[in-house]
Amino acid sequence: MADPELALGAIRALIIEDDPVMAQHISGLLQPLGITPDLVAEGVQGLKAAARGYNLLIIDRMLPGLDGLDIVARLRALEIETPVLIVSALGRASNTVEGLERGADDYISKPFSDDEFQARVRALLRRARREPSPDILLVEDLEIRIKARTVHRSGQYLALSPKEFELLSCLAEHAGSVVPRVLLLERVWNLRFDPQTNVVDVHVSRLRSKLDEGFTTRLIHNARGEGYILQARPVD
Amino acid sequence: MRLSKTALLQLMATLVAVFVVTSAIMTALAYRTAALYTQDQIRAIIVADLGGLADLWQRLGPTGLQAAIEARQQAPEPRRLYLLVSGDGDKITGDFDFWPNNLAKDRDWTHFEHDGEGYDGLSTHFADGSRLMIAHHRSVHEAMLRGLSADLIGPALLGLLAAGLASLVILRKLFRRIDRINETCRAVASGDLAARVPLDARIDEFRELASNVNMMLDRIDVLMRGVRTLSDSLAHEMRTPIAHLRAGLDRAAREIETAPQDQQGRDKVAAALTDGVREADGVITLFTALLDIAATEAAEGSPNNLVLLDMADLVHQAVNLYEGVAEDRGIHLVIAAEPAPILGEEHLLVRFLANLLDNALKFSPPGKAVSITCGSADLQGFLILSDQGPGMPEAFRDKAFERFARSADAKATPGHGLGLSLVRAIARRHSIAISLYDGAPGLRVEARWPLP
Repeated sequence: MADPELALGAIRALIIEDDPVMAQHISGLLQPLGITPDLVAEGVQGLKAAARGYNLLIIDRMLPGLDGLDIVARLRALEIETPVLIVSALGRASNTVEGLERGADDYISKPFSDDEFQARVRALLRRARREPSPDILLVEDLEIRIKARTVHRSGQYLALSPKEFELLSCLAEHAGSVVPRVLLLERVWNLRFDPQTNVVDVHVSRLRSKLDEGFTTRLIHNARGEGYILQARPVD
Repeated sequence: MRLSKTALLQLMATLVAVFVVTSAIMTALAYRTAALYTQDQIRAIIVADLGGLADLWQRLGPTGLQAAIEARQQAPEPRRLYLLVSGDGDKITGDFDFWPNNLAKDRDWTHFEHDGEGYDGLSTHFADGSRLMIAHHRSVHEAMLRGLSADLIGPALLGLLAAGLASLVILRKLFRRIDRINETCRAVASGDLAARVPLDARIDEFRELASNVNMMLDRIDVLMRGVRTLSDSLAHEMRTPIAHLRAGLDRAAREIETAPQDQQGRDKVAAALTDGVREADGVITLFTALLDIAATEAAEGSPNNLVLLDMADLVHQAVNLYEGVAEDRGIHLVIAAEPAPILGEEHLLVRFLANLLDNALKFSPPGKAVSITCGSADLQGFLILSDQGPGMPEAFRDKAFERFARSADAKATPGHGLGLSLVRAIARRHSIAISLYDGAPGLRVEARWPLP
């Protein structure tokens, strides 16, 4: 599913990954987003290649030649601010924090779901375009005012709690695409672990009942697997 | 191990060598002092004798002197020796036959040889040209000194022997005790983890060393058992999700072959695959949880990344996350969060609270309350979380924090039995003492920490 918003120009991404299986997989996930990927399997070569104007860098952490985070640190030292998504088998919260502190823009731990990867890539590219984030998000008949923190559906005001508002904004930013639970936990609650009880489901179902009550189209749907998607579908 | 190579022997040998050198120096000094002293004594007597005889010559003349010398020759051995010669050098009387030719002039001590024997002599002369010499046989002095050195060296050698023997006895004893410790270590190294050092009755450094070694071995034993249990349970816990994963993939493969090529058939395949993915995620979750526990345990005591936080804020964060769940299940959350400062890592402490809250909600029956209180009192911060669920059997409370520990009652509820292990690891990381009590009814979890 090509994202029309992203496919405006040729978006080029560099994948620095020594595991060919993973590199192919990532490559396959980028193409539907309208991104043309190049592959490099080694750190030093990767660093050289990364300096050549890509829109996005996807870097594995443990590479032969040079550590992935060192590549990021060197690029940042050279004032190359290309968005970087670190892909790593080191998946603990503290690894993520370390990655972000050393200049990566986002961090995803292996193994990951396709939806999570694509959602993170989309969010990174959107942020990189440096557009002033819109104050009003419109999805179907939904109108979300970011600054005023109000939500109307078909002109009708909806009273949401602060967390419900953030949850809805996050889903709306990715409208039409799957947003995995881990991403919601990270963006809405700033948590980098998955609580045993599915707290996100509970929050989403409350939000859904407030959003869809009295309407014939439902906006929030469970996505296959691990997340949610905001789009209009008629009630079954 | 060869005795000659031991550090103890080297120590003893050094001590003995120091003892030998110092006693040799002391003996030599004593000998020298004594030798000089006896020589001075002998000489003083001769000087006095010479003076006396010179007086005699003044008063009684040569014949009187001669008589006096002959009288002195009757004294018992060892005695002084005399020689009186005339102005021409002829012997008048005395013990020697001729005047020693190297004898110095008056009142100067001279050593001379006579008939192969050594003497020390002193001379004077009189107005008529006659000369008088008094000498003593050196062998007399030497014999005295020999006696003296025998008196000095004997005890010194005896002392040395005693010191050497004592050293050897002590050395052998210490060596045996150290060797017992070494034997135990070797036994452990070669696989006998149950080996322990036998403890001596005497309480000293060696016993302390032995009991420290034993304590260390006990601790290693406990840890080893822990690791073994962990890897056993890990292998066991992994089997289930991996078996499910395999089954899901098998099912998907079968459905692809057998299910009809319509929407329903495709859905069946998709469902089987989705199940497989979920099981794979379960395995990853399990591994991540284990790694988190291990890393948190490893960070215990490290001041890195600790910042000043308020437990009350963290409680609100966790409650924020779980209040929807509680409401859905009809459980009342009762919060009383007073300021409770703590030095900590925010994401860990939120997780700590989330796990505890998750547990409390999981086991709470609908319509009941879960209460969270935090605050500070008596220089301590505290957090108390109680539910009105079935509680925890007393026997299980000690084991509840172990990895994969799940009480028989909990088998029906989902979970890996890692939540409380992480809670304990996070508690230790933050010097939080955590205990479980019977809430009658329910479980009461109490956490206390020193205020920063």
